[in-house]
Amino acid sequence: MRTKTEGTHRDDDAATSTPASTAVLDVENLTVRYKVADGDFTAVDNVSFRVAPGERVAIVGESGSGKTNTCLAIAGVLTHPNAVIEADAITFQGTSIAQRKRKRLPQRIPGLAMVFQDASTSLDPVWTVGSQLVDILRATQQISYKNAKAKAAEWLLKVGMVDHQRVMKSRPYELSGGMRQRVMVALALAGSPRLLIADEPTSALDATLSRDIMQLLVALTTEMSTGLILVTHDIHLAQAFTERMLVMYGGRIVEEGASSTLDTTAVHPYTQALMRSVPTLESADLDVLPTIPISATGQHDPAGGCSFLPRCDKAHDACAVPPQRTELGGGYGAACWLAAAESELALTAPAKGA
Amino acid sequence: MPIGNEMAIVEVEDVTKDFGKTRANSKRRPAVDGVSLTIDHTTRLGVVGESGSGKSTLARIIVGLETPTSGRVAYRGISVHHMTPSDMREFRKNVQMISQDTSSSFDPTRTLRDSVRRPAQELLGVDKSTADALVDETLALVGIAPWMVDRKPTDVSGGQRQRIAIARSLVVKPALILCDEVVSALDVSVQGTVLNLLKKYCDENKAGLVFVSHGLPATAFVSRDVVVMRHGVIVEQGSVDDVINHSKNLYTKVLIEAYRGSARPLIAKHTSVGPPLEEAVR
Repeated sequence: MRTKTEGTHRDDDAATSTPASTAVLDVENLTVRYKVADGDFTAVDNVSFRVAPGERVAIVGESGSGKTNTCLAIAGVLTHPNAVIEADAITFQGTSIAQRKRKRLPQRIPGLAMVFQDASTSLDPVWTVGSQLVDILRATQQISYKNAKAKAAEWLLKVGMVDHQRVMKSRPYELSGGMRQRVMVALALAGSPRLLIADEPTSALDATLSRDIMQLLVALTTEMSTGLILVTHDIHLAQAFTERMLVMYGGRIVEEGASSTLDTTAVHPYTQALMRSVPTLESADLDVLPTIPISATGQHDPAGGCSFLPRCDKAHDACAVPPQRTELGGGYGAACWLAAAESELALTAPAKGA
Repeated sequence: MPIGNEMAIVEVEDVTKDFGKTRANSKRRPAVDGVSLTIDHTTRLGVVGESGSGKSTLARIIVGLETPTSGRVAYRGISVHHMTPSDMREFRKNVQMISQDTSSSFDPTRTLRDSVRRPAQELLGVDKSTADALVDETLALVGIAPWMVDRKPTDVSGGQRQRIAIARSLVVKPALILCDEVVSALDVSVQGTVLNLLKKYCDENKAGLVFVSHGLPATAFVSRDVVVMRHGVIVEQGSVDDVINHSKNLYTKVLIEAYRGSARPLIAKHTSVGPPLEEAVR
């Protein structure tokens, strides 16, 4: 099996400022609201981003930050009867998918695939793994049953299943959690998608398996230059396996930055806190783990102002007004008054600006 | 018949659990194979291992939810699996388990307050108002507002429910807490809060802690000693520092490398999709 050794052919800077015309996915001002008893609940609030072909983008944040809703809305599988999706544009491979007629049933978008966290409930228990793979291959390519079957076995081998003959004949519940997740990856990529959305693909797995599956996703998407959106709450995982990171809080993107350098370049206090709060092997020496304070009610929705304000350790007077995104160069930015202050500082004293 | 250590709360002696072979898996090994442990109030023991290593089964055997095929678990000298009802009450009061899946461990028809109050009433034998006071006190410990527990389990978030599940276990002031993957399903920001409060409770109340998890960093934080399990057997045992920095077992090394590795990008190193790690180590 062939895999490109050294990253990709793209220039990172070019990827981050992708023009709309070449982006595989272009989302502009996506808002998802749920109609609930006492008014509207905004799950996703004016989210805009782009994914270049073959680019790996992470969306990180806590539960309830809107990361999954963003992806479900893009993939056309958000069919909750109370959900209202609004967007200026969702363009996938040059065609608008925002204006599709809304249906109750999820609609398949050719070229877009998803991997979910819970492989045991997202795989069909009735059919064997082999027949599910063959179905996908035959639905996306004009090939005979026999060829599809050979290709299915090839895919299972690609995702690291050595005894693919047995797996072909197995039903999902006869496989271990790690094997099921590999099957999910094979099913998602067998149709040669241009964009793969992986929603917490490894959160249910242990560390060694998780790293294996992530390496697999990266290697295969790189090989096929498929774009990858990785949704995760593990900011370190996102750092290790993606190029660009979108940090979401309260339905908004609060920071966008280069994954690999985010531990030093993060501006938003939320991003910094998120990085600190992941336990590492070194935390064994600590008495108390750093945390992001949580309000007892679990509600962090202030009356106006920055949505992170009640939990922020760097809050000041300016935060009573919701911050707008400040561009930090290279297509990166942060929605925080600290970022705004920093960029002003950089403008007035360019020599000192870091 | 009392055995061994006077201080011990729970003694696990050569416990084996074999679920038997199935048609699909004719080579299935015992889930737990000859494990022995001594747990007292100073114990801060982390049990790590991949899925299927037997760590959860071991925890379930210790609290009496599974009967071992052979070997025995003794609570202050009395076998956990052959207890009189009054011994059982005493055991339940002192040994509490917190499980990962809180969505299925609360009664969906009752309010959360009912669920948290019940162990206090049943096991401590106090009246309702005293129990309620205890509930409020324990909820404050886990950072949950008293009015929140008037809801049903489905009406709170997963992180809140997990903290309420912890409160339900702590309300009887147990001498030993077994945690089975309590933070694995939580956000990193909430994980820290939960781990901090578990550690604080055990230190302040001189309670023992057995922390079963596949997450090594979280385990290393709350534990003093670690056992690494693989295929039902303890493959490595020692202090946190020994296991992390001087591990001898190959599987432990791979596990630690997975965490060390995740701190830096692995993409450039990656040249091909080799056989999966679990195959390579086996």
